[in-house]
Amino acid sequence: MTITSKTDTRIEAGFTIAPAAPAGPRLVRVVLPAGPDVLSLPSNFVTFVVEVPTVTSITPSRGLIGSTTAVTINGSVFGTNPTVQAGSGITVNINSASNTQISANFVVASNAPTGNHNVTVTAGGQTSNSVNFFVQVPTSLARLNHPGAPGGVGPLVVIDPSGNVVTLNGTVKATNMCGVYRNVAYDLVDQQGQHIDGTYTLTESFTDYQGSFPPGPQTQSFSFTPGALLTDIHFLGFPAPQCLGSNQNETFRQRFTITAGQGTYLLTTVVRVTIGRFSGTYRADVVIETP
Amino acid sequence: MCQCSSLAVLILMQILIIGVVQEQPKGSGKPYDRGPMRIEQKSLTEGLADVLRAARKPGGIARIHKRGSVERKLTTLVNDPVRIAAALDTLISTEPEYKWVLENGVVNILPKKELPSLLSVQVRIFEAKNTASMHDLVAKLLASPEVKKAQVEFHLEANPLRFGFDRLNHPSTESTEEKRTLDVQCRNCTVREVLNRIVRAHGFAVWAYDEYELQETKRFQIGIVSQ
Repeated sequence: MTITSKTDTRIEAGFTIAPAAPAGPRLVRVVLPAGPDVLSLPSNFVTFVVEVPTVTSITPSRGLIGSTTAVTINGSVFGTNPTVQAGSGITVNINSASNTQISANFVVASNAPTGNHNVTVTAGGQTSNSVNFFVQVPTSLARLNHPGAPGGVGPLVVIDPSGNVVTLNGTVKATNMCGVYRNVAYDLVDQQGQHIDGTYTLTESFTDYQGSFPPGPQTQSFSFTPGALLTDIHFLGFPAPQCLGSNQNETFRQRFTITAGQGTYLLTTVVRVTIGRFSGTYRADVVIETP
Repeated sequence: MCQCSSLAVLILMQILIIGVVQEQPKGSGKPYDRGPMRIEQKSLTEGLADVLRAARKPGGIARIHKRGSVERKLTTLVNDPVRIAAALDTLISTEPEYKWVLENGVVNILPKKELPSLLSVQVRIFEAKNTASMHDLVAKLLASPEVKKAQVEFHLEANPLRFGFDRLNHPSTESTEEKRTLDVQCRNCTVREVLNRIVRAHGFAVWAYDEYELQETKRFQIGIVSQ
């Protein structure tokens, strides 16, 4: 504490509050130095409150590795020029800040440590408590319950001699087709089984192909933006009027990789697909072999 | 003097090509965070799809798979996919039998020796309006009388159409996504030109033509491998 000016009725002083100072009230009183004419009598106490920044929440509290996540940090005593720390591998760009809310972009590097990061706000030389921000790694596909696909698996649809191939969203993939298909619904989840929101590319590849149409399907890639859930459609057929023969079918395994930023992640999920006509009977089985 | 003029023309053409291939993409979405892209154990088709997706450019690739041939897998480092000419050079440096060309803003990787016959078939009229599905456009092209006739002529059997993943709206929310539809028209265009128009209308999709030489027959497959 440094006194900058004083009169008989007023003292002006600066309090330097240490970064580690506990928040809360302090009792302050004035003590006059003893002298020949003055008795050393302390004044009554007044209260001075030490305030430090406090973070109450961060939304969202998860973000995809290799991506940028826009977050909102709520709390108090952020002042006018706060800074945010989110640990190694996360660059924080503040877009706007008020005393109670900070909007920022968390740029998560592809080599950022995964899992929980401590997020703190520093204002006026004081650092807040920390809250967790979880860096997500794509891990697997989880079946997703959907009105058109209870338990994540839609009904077997046979279009013979002709009909439309329709996704769970109602999007018509192709018209005037002949064959068989089934829709399935998935959510991309992280190492804790939680939904992943972000921009990423899903690549599916196919192995162990056996069927009527060698050498089998190709890899396909799709880009997904924040908020995405996933639907896959397994169709075997041709533009009508050509239809599948009695034993034209295929089986294969599906494997998946996710590319986010500079990183590529192989999902644990392996799906076995059996589709086509088997001795005249239509089938489209989509079984998760490895979750 | 004559050599200098040729050199100047070549340099000017190169500048024009780079200028064209670096134009802003039509498609929406997050641009690639610029930097090196590692392509590991991928086919040429997958490598092209990766590069074009990063650069937000439309494209296509035509490949003929000889009987008994095993597909080569690429492992390479593309310095910056957004600098697409250099990126494509890197990709095909490992597949010397292919070349890349740029036509009306669409990148094509094609065999150096001979283009698959079906891609050169001329379609008198291709017209599709308000079409939501890229696959529907391909199916419509395959159903055109010229393509059907050429299939018979070239002894080509079609593989089934392949579909794949799509974004799924959350069951509890209304879709706020704008439904995009595509209009594609082409008169007296080759099959390859129609495919290029389809991916250009999308913005940054990639078509792939694969022809497989089997024991007694040939099969082909046209698909949209990236969108």
